[in-house]
Amino acid sequence: MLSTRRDILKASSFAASSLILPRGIRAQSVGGLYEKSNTDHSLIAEKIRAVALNRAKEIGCDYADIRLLYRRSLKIMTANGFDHIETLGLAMRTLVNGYWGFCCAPIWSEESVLKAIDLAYGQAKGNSQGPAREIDISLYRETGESGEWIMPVKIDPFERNPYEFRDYIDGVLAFIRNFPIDTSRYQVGMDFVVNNVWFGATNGSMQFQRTYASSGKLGFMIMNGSRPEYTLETLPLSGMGYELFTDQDIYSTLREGFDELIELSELPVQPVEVGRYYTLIPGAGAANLLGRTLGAAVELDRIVGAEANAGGTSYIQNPAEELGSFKFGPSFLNVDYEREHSAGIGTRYWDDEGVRCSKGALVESGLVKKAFSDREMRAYISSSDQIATGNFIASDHSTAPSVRFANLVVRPNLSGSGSVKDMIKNIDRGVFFRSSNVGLDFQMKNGMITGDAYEVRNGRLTSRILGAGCWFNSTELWNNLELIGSDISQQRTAISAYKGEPASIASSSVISPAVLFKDAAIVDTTRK
Amino acid sequence: MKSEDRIPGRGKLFSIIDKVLQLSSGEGRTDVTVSAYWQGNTRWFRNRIGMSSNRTDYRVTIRRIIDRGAGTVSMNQTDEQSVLSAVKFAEWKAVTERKDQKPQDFPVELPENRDSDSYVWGEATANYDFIDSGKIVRITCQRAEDLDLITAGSVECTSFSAAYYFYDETTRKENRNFTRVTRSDLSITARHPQGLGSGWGGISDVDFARINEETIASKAFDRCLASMNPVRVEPGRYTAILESQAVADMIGKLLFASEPVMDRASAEWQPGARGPHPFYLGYDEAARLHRSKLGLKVFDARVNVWHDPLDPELGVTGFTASDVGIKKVSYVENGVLRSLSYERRYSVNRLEANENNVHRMSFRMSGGSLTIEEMIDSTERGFLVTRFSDGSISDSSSLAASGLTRDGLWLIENGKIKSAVRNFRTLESPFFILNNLDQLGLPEKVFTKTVQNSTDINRIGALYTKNFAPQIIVPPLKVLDFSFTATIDAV
Repeated sequence: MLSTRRDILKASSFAASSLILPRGIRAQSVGGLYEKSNTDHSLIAEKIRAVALNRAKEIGCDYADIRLLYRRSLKIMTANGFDHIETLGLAMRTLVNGYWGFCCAPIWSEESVLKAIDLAYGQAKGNSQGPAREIDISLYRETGESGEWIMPVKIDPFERNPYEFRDYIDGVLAFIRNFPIDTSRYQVGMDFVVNNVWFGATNGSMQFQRTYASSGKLGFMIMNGSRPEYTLETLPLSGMGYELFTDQDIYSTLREGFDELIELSELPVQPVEVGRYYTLIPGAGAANLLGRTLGAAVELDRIVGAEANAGGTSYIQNPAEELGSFKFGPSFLNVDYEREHSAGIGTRYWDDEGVRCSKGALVESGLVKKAFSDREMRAYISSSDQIATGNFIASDHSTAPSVRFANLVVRPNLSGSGSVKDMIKNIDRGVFFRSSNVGLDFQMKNGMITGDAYEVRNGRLTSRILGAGCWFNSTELWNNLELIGSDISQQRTAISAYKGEPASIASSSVISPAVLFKDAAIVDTTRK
Repeated sequence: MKSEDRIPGRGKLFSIIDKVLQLSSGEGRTDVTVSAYWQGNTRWFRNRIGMSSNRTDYRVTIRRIIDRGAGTVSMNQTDEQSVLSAVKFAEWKAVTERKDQKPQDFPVELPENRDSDSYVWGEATANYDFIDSGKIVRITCQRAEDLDLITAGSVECTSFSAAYYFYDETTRKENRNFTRVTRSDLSITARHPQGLGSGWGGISDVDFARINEETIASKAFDRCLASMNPVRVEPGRYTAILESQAVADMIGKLLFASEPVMDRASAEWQPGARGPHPFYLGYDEAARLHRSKLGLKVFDARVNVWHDPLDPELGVTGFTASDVGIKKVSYVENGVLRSLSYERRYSVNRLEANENNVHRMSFRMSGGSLTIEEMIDSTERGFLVTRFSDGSISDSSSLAASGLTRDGLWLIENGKIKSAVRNFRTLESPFFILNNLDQLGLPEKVFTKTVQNSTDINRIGALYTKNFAPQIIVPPLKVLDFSFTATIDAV
């Protein structure tokens, strides 16, 4: 019988054992189910963390932090059963004379972490041979918070037999196959991830966080000419467990989606009549549009040019002057940011430099109030109320954190009767984007909405428009916002974006009701 | 630090594979891929170094096939207990999974053992020195400050090694392969402090020693200075001189580096709701098959596109886990579509063969001998385009895609550059471009950015696709009637 990590730890002191620690993955496959191993990742992580931070102080880092990640991923597919991936890793960040070094490695051991911190220190020290770089070091000497936070989920997917998920998928597939029209081009899948992160910093922060990510893909397409496809939009990447699937009546939603699809596919098809129209976008599309045109534009690293060679810049050029007065939309537009939002994929308690995530108003009465920042970038804003907002996020152990916008919530128009159907009824002539994608330039300034578009005449959908796009200037479009729907039309979507060099991806949730714009420029995306 | 201390070589990787074999029950078929990467990076913004990073990781993927059931596990740990757990889990899954693996999923004949490390390995990349790169960055930043410009940029060196093992108990055939590859990237953006102009330079190469940082920086600075005070020009169709980077942005991601577009099975499939595949020809009543445009002339006769895994400048491995030997493939010869990629299952069912023709995203395109200056000399009126961003497809049949010019766009009149021009949104199809060629320039390497984060663990290992973008070598092109559809005010 093999020794477990705990056995070894019991038998010897850490100093001796840590050099030979086995790093067993959790999945033990005896008897057809995952069996929990005796591996105690916390014990090892905490000891490695202590070794790392002591070393950082010894060698003279002005500041250092460490993240230890233990991630499990489960991907359930229709054809290939399921894939199971486990990842361990550690990441060290060091600050020396205003310059940063970063090192990551897969192995949790004393040898590995000491090597990592020496390399990170060496890089920072080497870079500091250049001109002075101004970072307000005092910010890093604040006593950090410590504690433990576990994302509340109802059903931990990693406590379930994965074949239960396969059964679920088989049931959904059988349901779709029974639709009376050929829907053989369907896609069904589930993804689950759990991240366990132990964070520590030389300022005293000692934190543990566990976050979950779940998402589903349920979609089908009618195999008959130029018909629309349907993808279930209530299964976006979310900070939830298996309840993402079980807490809703998927079959009713699919059935309603199918009926809607049949209805829409019977509409005549017409080319684009270029012009300016009322344009209605349902909750998920509106959330995507807002996240991309506003969320990304108020990431302070983009604003100050730190992403000029990677993720792009921003239409906000002078944060010190513009924040608080930049008019993004009409006075009834209010957007809140909140990292602790229930079910948000960007939900955290602390960010990846140990800062407590804050919440508040991002847009108040149409004015942009805040920019998302880490501790370093906030120095570029002179305003005293601009603090680090707890939005410095890394996608995994192999990437350094970067500024990422938090979960965003567009406040609904509670007084209105604003379901999507109600809003359509009130449009004499306009365009409805049932599903949409958004493409933006490198300054988040100009963009194009494309997708499944319909003409609205006299309060109903009258035809499907092929090749329609809405060409916009971000702030002009939002200042032409005519109406925000009520909470009935509210939907959540996840926005994932690449940033940094090397590029890394991170996600946030955006929740929005349907929105109606006036005078939106509708163009033919296929016409040269 | 020496390169061998950064990533493991053949001996270390095969010792991990041997550990898997010792712990495996041995029945059926065993596939193991062990890969590792190291990456050094120095990134800067606002003329100061922001961070240097040093990254390493492993990926061990074990696939066991027992009685036609398959089980795969992937992890980044290499110790004995982890390997044991993974092997047991893969075997349990192989036994309990559906028995749906088909004989055509496996190669009949195994290629010879292969070692491709010498073709695509740059010592300067593998031995990237942070102190030296720091000096390079500081010199670049000082040059920018002297010109009153603000720069951001990144220098990145990556080395990758992988070992692949296959054993089939029934045939008692065994195969061992090892490969290693390097890649280096440098890109620089220079901007005017008030955002009045922007310029860019970048390149990717196997060998960091072949990258001339001064030249790349000069390109970025010169373009930034020359892009200020842009004039507004009416949208329309213009002759466009596309620099090699702009060509790669158009025909790389959208066409030759796109797996779905270069997939033969998709090209020979009944058209769906989004219209026919770009290479779909029609239904052959006699053969009762959907036909692709293979063998037909689809581009200008001067267009030749190919991929050679042993090309020392393309920097690709010679095998993947699903295809142990990749051959040279010619996609387009004299404008005629000669090859599309396919998987083993397709070749067994349709081609009466048992082979993979895996799509590799790296490619070369032939060109001519003209310089950009010579192309400008012969242009009466047109634009010079540095590069594009946001190539989102508007029509999946023609691959017509909207794009945005960026980091330098100039108006050419009577053989001279007249002025900088405000950026445009464009709408063009790579098919249109490659059929409306006026002139072709000298092919050169371009910058390619890795943007995918693949979790396809059945490939050579997600680490490869995660950290390596395709290498592309293409010529600058002078294209007639290129469609510039709207001006944009982004800089």
